[in-house]
Amino acid sequence: MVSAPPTLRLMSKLRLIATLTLALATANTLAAADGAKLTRGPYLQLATNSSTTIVWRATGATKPVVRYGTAPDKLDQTVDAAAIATRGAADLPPIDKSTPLHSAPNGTRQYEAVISGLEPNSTYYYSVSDGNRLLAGGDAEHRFRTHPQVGTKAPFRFWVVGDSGTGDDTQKSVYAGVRNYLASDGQRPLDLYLHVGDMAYPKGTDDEFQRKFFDIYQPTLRNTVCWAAMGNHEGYTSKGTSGIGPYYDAYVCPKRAEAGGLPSTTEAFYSFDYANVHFICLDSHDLDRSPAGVMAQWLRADLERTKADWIVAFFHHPPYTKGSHDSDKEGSLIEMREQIMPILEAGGVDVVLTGHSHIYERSMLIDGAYHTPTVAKGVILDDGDGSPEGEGPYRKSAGIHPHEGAVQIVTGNGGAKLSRKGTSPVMRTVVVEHGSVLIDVADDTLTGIMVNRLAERRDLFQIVKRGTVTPQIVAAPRVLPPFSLPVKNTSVDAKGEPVLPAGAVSIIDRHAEWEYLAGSHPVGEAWKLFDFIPPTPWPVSQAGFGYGDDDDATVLKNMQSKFSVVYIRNEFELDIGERERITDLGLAINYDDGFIAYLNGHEVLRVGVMQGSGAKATKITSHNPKGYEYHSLKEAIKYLQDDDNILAIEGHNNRIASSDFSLDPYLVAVKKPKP
Amino acid sequence: MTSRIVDSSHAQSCRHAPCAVGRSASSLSAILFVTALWIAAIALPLRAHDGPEHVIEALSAEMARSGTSAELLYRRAIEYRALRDWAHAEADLNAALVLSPDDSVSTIELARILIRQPSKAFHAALLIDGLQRRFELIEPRPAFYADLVGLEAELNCECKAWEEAVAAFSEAIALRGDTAWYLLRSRAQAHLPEQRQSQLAGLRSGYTTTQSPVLLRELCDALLSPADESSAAERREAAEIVEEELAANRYRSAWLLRRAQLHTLAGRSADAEADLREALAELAPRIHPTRPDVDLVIQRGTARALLGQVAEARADLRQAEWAHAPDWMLAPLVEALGDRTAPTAVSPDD
Ligand SMILES: [Fe+2]
Repeated sequence: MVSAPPTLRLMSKLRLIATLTLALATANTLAAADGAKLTRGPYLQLATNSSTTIVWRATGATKPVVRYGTAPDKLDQTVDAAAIATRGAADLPPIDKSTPLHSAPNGTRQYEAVISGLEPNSTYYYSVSDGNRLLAGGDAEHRFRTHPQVGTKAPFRFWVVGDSGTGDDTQKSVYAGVRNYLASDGQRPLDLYLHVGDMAYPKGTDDEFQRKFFDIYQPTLRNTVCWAAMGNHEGYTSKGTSGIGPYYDAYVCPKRAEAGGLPSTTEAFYSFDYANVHFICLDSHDLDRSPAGVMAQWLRADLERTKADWIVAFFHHPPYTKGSHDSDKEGSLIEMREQIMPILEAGGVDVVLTGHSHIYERSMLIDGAYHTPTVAKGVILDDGDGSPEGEGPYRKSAGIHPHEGAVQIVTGNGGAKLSRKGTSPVMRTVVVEHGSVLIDVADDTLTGIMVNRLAERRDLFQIVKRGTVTPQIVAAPRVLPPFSLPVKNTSVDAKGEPVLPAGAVSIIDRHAEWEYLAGSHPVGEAWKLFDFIPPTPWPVSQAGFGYGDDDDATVLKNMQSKFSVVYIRNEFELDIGERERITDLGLAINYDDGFIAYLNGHEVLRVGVMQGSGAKATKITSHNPKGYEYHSLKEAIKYLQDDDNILAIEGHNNRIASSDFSLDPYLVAVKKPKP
Repeated sequence: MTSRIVDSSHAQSCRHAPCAVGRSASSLSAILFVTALWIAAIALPLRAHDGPEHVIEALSAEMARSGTSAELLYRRAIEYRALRDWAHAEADLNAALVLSPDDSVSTIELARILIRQPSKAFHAALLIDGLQRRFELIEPRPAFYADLVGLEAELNCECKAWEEAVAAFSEAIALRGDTAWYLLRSRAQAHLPEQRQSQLAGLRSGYTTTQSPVLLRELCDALLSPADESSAAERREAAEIVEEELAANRYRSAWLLRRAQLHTLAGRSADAEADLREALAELAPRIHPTRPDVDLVIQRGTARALLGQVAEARADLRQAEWAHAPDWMLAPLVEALGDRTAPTAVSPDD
């Protein structure tokens, strides 16, 4: 074959390029010169036993294509273009009749693709592309499993997270904790993810959602639907009445009973079915919580209709808590208890999941606890621990029945700073530790656990619904001991109490919980700073730390002859204006043999460590404690900051083989009275 | 648009209805997020973890240190609101508006609190009217304008200005078809006998649009009310709804009561009685002995009244009133008792 003359070939080439350019411009007129860039997702939303929704965002207009199939390398189906809704950021020209994105970055388009006609309880794989250019997927991680048929008793597992949206290492380590737990032998993967609100601090903006929710949970979001409830922090930018805001842009929730239940007509509250469980999500933040409100009326109708074996309700504001919030004092919490709980319990609710209060609290089996303040008398149907490994599961009749008892779980421990005010009298377990909740449902048995940052199980309860159980109120229920802040700043006495300045109050309580590192050394100096992200989370335990002298709340059994340094950190906060009122600051500490204290990264006190620090510390003098000693930190007041502060201490033993070790500090201050 | 908020002479007759206040609060809150002014105003660190009392302390300290400002006062008012300390919330909002008279967010929040107090309805009306006038000239109107109109309608309901309320709800629905507004418009129309057909038409279209079970119930009740106005066709329409719901639901008492009503209208008293007794049997385990859901108490009271158990029905009425059930919720029970009280109103304990 004779080749064409060069000029002709060149011309053909030019024509070819021109044609191609033209074709591209016609087929994809909106395509930016540099192509589309994926900015969020893809992630799963609203799913049923025959459909699922895949959502993603891109900048630079794309020709959205979703392929799916039964194996990652066999994506032989394509979603019809008509089933992909497109929404644009406010700066883009209006797209059909879609609601513009509330506050997405300029140039952003959000695509919401509905894949329908699927088989129930089946795994599919998917990819999203811009025309023929793959944006994400086509691998084992981008997959979804359709819901089982409603009523199926097949076992499944869901994950519950609350108050996570800090974007910091604590949030990440809670996530890592549950992922490590799930990765351990024989663990079932997640089928669902529930978020009980406060997922993007502090104001639930579009950017905060991106950084503190999507960027962090993406490995789960791409293959597990997150069903969300709105928290008060999302409420700064999103509103339940109008369904507008970054929260409502992020989630596609059922409004018309797409996944079971009755139509709520709003994404702010809704219900759905999964296997034999009916899930109900309420908006406890900014909608009417009165018994005459639309939400309550819908809730009654929805409860009257469901024929599931289990009812699980979730929302943000806890009806019972004494964590960072108090359910006896705050309006939304009181109303959820007094006005919504009677409806839920008359409808036969089994489990109520909430957050808002930054703590983990889990109740006994209770019913009818609607009074304010909450009391234990007359409301506890089983005062046991509910543990199949302890006093046995809570028992209810098979099926759903009114007022046979519910378990309340407050899991506001997903990332935000923890605190505790007291003990709600209906609680059986209170853990001031970060973590999240896993719940397994298998036919007539529901098992819940709390998993901490170290992938350890920190609570276990079970409800078994079998036969007929007649609920009986426990006349004199066992309740948890009252909680009180431990420090009373008495003067010195023979028992080793420190001499504190007059009027000193604790900033970090005696026997508070600290993060600690024992048995290895932290890399670099970052561990002394607030923003420190450890490669693996440090465990959290109560001070003091040590061994050998019977005075340690946290006994370091392996320390003797193995290592001689223990590192501890405690974050504390100062309210607006509080820093200025502090006139004296000091450390009360029981130590053996030496320590170095750092406030916000600055060394502020060194006792008994004559040279170096950390692994390089030498010349540690011996010290036999007689109790707490007081050391003034007046010179360190200047290092205090508004809001977040960190006190970090390294404790040293003078000999590795020493027979004992102690490190037991607390921080006190003298404050001017409030103006 | 001409604002339909009524004047102070009406406002004086406003009756405090706790549940209506909740509704007002909800539709108003939608307005808050749009106002850029407010978003920009929050320069203080918004802390993720403090109870309202701590935030109030912190804000007070901040104001003591660096002086008051509209933003700080607004923030503190919101925290007082969370604690249901309405007096302090109102005082802070008033103070915020002295410093920043054009702040629409504080204005709305204040109106929302004033609505709770009958004596201050006129003040609330002035605030809402002023805001509407400000935003009605802006093109396109902000998304929250619908909420302002809805709020105006709710205020008119508070003041029993039913025609004005209906007009405002219709305008709000045209802007955004909220289930609550369909429902409240129907409730307002129930006070206007000449609007019965328009009430039914509005509910039918509301149900068709939203599929809300709440509107379906309202439609069914409106079809049968008042009984002497209800046509044979309307009763058939109601009966179809009732039978479908009875077949579909696990708990059926609410629909058994409606079917009993249909039986009674058709003169089938034995069938009515059977349904009422079945409803009572189903209600018994659902009603918590000390603090039940008020809706269930009203259902029980209604069934009891219709079965002639007047003293028990009255006790249920008292319990429902004590729980602040609004008039529209109490209506079936009051009506059922109304039929019975005249001849038997001799119960010694009443
Ligand atoms: Fe919260």
